[in-house]
Amino acid sequence: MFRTRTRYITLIVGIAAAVALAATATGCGSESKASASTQPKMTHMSPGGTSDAANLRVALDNLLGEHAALAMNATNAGYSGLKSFPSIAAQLDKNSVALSKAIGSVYGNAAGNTFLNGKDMWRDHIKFFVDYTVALASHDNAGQKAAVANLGKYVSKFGAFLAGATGLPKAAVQNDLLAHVTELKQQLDLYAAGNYAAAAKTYDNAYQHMFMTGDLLAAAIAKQKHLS
Amino acid sequence: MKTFVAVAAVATAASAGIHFAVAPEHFHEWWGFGTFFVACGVAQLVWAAFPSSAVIGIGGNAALIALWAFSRTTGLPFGPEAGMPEAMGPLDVASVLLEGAAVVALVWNRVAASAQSIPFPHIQEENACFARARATSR
Repeated sequence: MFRTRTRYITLIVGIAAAVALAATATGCGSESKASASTQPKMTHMSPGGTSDAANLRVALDNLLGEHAALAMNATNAGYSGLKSFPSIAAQLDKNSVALSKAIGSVYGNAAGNTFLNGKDMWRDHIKFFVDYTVALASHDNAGQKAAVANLGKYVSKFGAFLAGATGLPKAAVQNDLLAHVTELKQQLDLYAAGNYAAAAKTYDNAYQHMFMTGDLLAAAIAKQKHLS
Repeated sequence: MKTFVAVAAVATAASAGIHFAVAPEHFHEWWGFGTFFVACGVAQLVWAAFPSSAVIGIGGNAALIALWAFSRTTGLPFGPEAGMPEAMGPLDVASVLLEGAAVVALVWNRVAASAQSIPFPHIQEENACFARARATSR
């Protein structure tokens, strides 16, 4: 009786373990909330037969382009004191989570988490921009300088992190990030000064620049992970 | 009768395996989700190992199906992306199908068991006749 019961429990635990292993091995985990909206699968072939490398490039380009657009929409709304700011900021954070999952799908969950929540990493750089926006709106020069200094730390530290992960030259990544940060700051400065035509032009440049960043990262990751 | 319970236990154990497999990615999303998936897996595994209560088996699996449906249509009201419906994936659909199979098997088992305990009409009639005969003979 006891032996039969032990065998039965062993069988049940074995079934659960086998299914868990099979599910892990297939790597087709449950879809996330973010993936429903903004996170294309980065390592699977698309139904149309597009290559993994192309999927990766499109995914990063889309997410980074969306990041720039939402970030500028958020800072403009924040500066103007619009009620739309919290909603745009929430959407921007969803984009950040989607980006971290994209990174996590390539380099593992721990790397994805560091990308998102590490000190002076992704979420921090958005916070620094919010700090800058608040300081700009309140004509707080010291606050603006502090926010810019923090953004400098972000460029340095986050650039080193991305370079270490992708194998790209650190200086190249940091220069690219510096261009991104500068464009976003410049766009807000122009918007705040009422120079809307120049702000719109800079907005477009900042958006387009993200596709360069996406291409740069995608090419490095594809080479590193031997994606075709 | 034991076959239905065995089917429910195996399906529930398989569903537990899926919950364990996806727990790490949910921990990455939010610790609360990860903990929930581990707790679900443990609860399902314990029930599958000791499937004595059909009510718990039916209720637990049905609750998980309902929660899944809610998360895919309305979105959970808490967590990092509260109110945002989740997309369906192959593993969560497989898990829900297994839970559904367990519920069906357990319900079927109960229906079959209760059907066997219902006396046939002609037996009831015969019993009534015997009762009348006994009463008359006194």
